[in-house]
Amino acid sequence: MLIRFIAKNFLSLGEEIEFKLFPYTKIRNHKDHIYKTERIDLLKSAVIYGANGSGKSNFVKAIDLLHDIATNQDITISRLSEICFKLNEEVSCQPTTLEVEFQKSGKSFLYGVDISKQRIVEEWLVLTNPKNPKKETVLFERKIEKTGKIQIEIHKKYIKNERDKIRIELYEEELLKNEESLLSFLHGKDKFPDIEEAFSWFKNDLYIIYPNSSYASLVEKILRDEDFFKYTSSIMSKLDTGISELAIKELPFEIFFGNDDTNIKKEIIRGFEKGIEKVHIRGKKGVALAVKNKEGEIIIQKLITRHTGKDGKVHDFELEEESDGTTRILDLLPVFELLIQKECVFIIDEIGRSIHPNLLKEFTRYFLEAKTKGQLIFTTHESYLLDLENFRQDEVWFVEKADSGNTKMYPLSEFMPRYDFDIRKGYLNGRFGAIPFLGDFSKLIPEHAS
Amino acid sequence: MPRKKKRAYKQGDPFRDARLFVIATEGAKREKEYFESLVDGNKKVKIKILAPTDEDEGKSAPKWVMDRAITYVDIFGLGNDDQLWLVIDVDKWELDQVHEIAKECSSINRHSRV
Repeated sequence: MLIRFIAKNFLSLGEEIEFKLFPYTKIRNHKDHIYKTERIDLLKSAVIYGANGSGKSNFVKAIDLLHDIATNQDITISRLSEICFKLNEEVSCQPTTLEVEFQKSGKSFLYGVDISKQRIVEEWLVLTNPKNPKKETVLFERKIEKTGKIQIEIHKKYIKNERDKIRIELYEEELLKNEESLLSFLHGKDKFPDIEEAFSWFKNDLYIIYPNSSYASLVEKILRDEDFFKYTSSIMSKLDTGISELAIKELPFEIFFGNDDTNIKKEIIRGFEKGIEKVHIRGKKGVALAVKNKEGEIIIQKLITRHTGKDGKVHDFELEEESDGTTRILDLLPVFELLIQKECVFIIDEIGRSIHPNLLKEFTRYFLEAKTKGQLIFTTHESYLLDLENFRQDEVWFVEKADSGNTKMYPLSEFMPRYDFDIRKGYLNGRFGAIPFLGDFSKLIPEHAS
Repeated sequence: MPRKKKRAYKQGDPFRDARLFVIATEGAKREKEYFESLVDGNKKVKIKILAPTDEDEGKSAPKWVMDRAITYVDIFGLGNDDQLWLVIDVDKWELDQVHEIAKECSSINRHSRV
């Protein structure tokens, strides 16, 4: 569970921003949007609003980078360059800071890095104590000496003998790379259970989804997981998509591809010859899975939809005939399933991409009303969702780019007088700063210009 | 940035101002520039200036200023804490016209001031 995220000097997040998921105690609506845990109460969702170019996606990129640093995934020296805020030299020469506090298995952790000149210059992992913040335990700290040498301090409970001490010295001197996180480096070494737990949160509980992300193994999941199949079909039929159910159609390989895509065909055949068991296919021919049948022939299992006509007859539709929004929702359904099943965090950039506002509203309401365990955080500029029937005031965040080029973030609950009427109108007329359009009122709504 | 020693574990009380100050003006340029320069950098004041647009150019009479203000309120609504101002040049228009607008304002809202 995410408690807070802090970023400074990262792209447009020049000055420090703090995004936190604490419920404001005086808000009485949607109390079911609060997860009460032993140590701390946390919100189940957050919707982040802002105009194009305000810095919403930079916020997502900042968390994504910290995720990748923590798990040492695609981290290269070049990825750590060009990340600082460029519009103020005083800020840009300081290190970039990314820090997250989260809860995992009843414990709360604070993990952060300072990055400067394409290397991690500081890194820390702390066991925090929300009930008594002064009582925290530093699990490790990494710094850089003036000579450029990495310095590591690990909690004494992990240093039991001389050998452990020597091992840490070896990490400092030879093993740990400048761009590599100590968290990922210590993972899998079986000696640091708390550190392993923190690593596991990044690896298994934090998911970041971009507008063009798609769920590669959708067909496979539908085929193998009957519960998921039923769940997906039932949601698609409840939402106003016209779909009554999903189905899988089996097609011969040659029929599916026809005379097109000879290169892809060759590649798939070559893959099977090399021993690959399945190939996920997604493109203009739809969403499908290539597998071998009992006879050893490659066949295609393709996802289709079914609509029921007024006469009660069921008609098959290809997925390509459905809207992009429907396909996007299908990609997001595994997200919701996980949010129901486990304490995870999903951060989705531009959730509304391709989805009709009505459908999006229905879809988010479905999540908000469901009994869930995880947190859903998403960015959007779709003001249609701005409604206190859907969200609490502390779940609505605004992102605004100040004149200095800095991105600022703040929740609706920080505004007074307590704003509990039409927040959509309030948002559109700039009451909360993060206005979606710039310029004259007349340009905002042309039909009222005269 | 070394990690902070003090971290709060709750959402603080509200402190940002959500009030809106709407100013409907006669002219599209000078008044707009003047009021915008007054609030420059003051993020606490959300100011909305309703100046005539290109199509409306020349529609500076008090009744047009009033019209723009009414259209705005109809669309966006205003809360009890918000303020709506009409800026009218008393040297330019007959005083009767200005009085009429003032009377209309009072009939709409008893808190109106001239």
